Amino acid sequence: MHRDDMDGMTRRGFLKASGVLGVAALLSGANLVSMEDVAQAAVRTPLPLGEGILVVVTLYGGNDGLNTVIPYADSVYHASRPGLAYSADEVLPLDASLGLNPGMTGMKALWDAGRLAIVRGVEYPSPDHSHFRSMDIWQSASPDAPESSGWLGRWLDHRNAGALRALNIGATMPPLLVGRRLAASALPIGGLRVPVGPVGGALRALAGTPAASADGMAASQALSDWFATAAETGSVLGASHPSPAPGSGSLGQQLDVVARLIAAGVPTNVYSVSIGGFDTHAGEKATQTSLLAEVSAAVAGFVQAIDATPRAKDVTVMVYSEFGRRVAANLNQGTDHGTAGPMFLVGSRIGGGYFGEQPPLNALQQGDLAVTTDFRDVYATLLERVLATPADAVIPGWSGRLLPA
Amino acid sequence: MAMAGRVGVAPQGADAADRVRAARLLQRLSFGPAPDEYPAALDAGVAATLARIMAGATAAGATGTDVPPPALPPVTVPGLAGTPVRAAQQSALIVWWLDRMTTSAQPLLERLTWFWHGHWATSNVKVRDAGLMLQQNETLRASAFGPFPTMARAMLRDPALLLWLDGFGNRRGHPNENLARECMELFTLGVGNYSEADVRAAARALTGWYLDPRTRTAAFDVRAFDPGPETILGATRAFDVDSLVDHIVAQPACPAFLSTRLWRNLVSDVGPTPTELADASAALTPTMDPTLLVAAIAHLLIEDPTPRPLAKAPVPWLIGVLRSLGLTVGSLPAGTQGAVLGDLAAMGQVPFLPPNVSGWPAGGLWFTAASTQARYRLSLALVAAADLAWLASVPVSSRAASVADRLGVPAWTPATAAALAGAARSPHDLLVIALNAPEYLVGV
Repeated sequence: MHRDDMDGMTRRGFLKASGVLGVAALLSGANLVSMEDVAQAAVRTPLPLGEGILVVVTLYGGNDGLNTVIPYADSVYHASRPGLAYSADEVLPLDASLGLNPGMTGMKALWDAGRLAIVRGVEYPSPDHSHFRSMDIWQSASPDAPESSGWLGRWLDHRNAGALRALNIGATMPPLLVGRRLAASALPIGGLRVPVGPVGGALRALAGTPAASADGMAASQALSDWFATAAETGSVLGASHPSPAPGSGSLGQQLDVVARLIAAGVPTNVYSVSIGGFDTHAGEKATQTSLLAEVSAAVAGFVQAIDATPRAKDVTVMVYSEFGRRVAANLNQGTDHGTAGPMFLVGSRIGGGYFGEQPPLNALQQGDLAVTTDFRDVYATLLERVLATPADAVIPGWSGRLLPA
Repeated sequence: MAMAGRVGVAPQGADAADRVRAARLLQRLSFGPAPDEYPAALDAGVAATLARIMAGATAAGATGTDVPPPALPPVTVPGLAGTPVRAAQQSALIVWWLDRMTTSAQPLLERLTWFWHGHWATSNVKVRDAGLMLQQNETLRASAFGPFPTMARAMLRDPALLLWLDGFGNRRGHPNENLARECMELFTLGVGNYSEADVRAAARALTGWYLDPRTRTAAFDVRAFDPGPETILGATRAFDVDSLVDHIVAQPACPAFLSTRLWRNLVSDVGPTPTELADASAALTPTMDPTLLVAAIAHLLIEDPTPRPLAKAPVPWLIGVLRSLGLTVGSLPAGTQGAVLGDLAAMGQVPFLPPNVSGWPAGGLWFTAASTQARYRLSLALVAAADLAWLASVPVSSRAASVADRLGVPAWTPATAAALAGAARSPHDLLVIALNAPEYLVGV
């Protein structure tokens, strides 16, 4: 699909009508945590220096991994997608066999500086080709059984932490950040302004009041979040911050907000940002390259901004998509849904270089790449190294960890 | 939610249970009451109200008083110069449907058309042709009630849908799986009820279509069609689009899938339970006509006092506010119209612009801090544009009850009642608070 039409996936996308996903979780937290308390605590207790911060970047639509980390020296690659393949002259070479998409100059510079980790061949066993199911699996970290909570939502549950401990940039909460008991906050990029006067007083009085249904509690809790989040973030973003169009803004704008919040010491350990448009069934080359250029520039700009703060060593960025795409191109100069793809990590707690094996092009499974790295290895490693949390508390029983290739 | 007790301000007259029943019918099978419709429904009785609403379960009577659609000729201006023309057409299309939903004499037909729009979710962001989007909208309305296979056959030839899901690029020997996959996953069966091989085979059965620029319809080119045979969902034969539709719709998963989607849209964010789903599927299965399912749903809502919370998505909320306040978007000043569309976007729901092919989500996820702000801002603009003389003429002590009747709310909770009482001297403030109160945002 065209990039813009998938952009909405960043906000509501794959939640789809089939699920009341997270509704119960969204509210039950209201019984346990007072948003007013959280607001007070946030002002009084900034995040201590040295506490890990994870910034999750979701690429919605299924990014074509083969044209992201490109096996430019492999003749099978060129033969499989003649009109879509990048030549050795075009790629940004990482080594003698792989190169980055030409749009990714910012992330190439991070690789050259030894700061970019590339995890290859990432997915889960028996990959699902549905956007919605596959993204659900990635966000819940539960390939085997339906699970309505997100992995970082369960992390919130484990920390028993207030809603601001994890923050989505953009109006709509991804399931990623909804736990079984607790859920994160959602911050629109323009910031929040709450009413004053009699109407403001009345709505404030309704905020957090009990309701008979989960939906009613969600509505009441949203009023609470509005007042509390506005109180906490208003002074950080300040009046000088530009107020772009409604929605979540570009990835660069989203990461700019995250950088400001981190610099200001907001007590948040997990941020979620996103960009859509990667579902390139047709006319892929120009669309994907421009998207990857945006991702690369936004991530590199974010890292540069964080480098100027005392928290440079605390922050780790993770970039993922719900699946890669078919190895062979279709006739519309696009690709259909596939399986494994690369993930990117940037942060001193992980380091640079390759993790996992590049899926071989001569051993495809029904036209798709083999999975060489389970995404839960990455999550478990991030939970331990960045969030200082036992992985078992979020992904029970998972023993795999990220190992250098 | 509870039908007895928890009543803060309960207007006198009809008993609490009837107030809930009538409110449910007007919330689920319409977009909420027009002025005076709720008290009139209480006077007429639940049975008469249901009969009146169900009379709208047909596309046949949809003429006359309905807002006529805008003229949306193909944009022939080349290149970037066509962009503002397309944008103006898109806005005109959106405002037209909002107005039609607000003022239709058959709100049930619009409610179902709205459901089907979210079901076959197609976005003009990729289609970039408001005329084709309107054509699809009329196809959905014409087949909103009636056998589902008729709708499915029409939709798999719908130019906007085929542009949206690359159906015109799906050719013999060079399949594009997008349409076939989403057809099984999102339109008919649901994840888990087909295999990857079924998707790839169904894509071959859907080859051969191209957009005829003169007729602006999907035309068939037999040379681009893969004659098969294909093996799909256990059957091997030479499928084409119609036989594929019939084969898919005959799967037991199809009525269950459609029933669940309709339940989440019309009944509640909770359920259906296995028993409720079995009952709903049984109503749908014989003819695959949603008329019978909607009737079954209506009776359930009337006869079963189980709480059925249903979060109002932004568009149904907006249409409900407009109906209650006696406004239409098209009659607002141009600047206010733009603000309405902007706030809908900020809440995450604009007609003809679903976020992706799975449509909009259901449930309490509509309620975030950010969407709360946009809803509040929009309610301010609409209340400011409305004539509130009807409320100003009511004694202050009766105003909260009067607003409940106007909005179709059975009863205010004690907390809301207290908040409203404190603001009752200002009709403006009273309405703004009521339109943002949890019991207005969640269907009873």
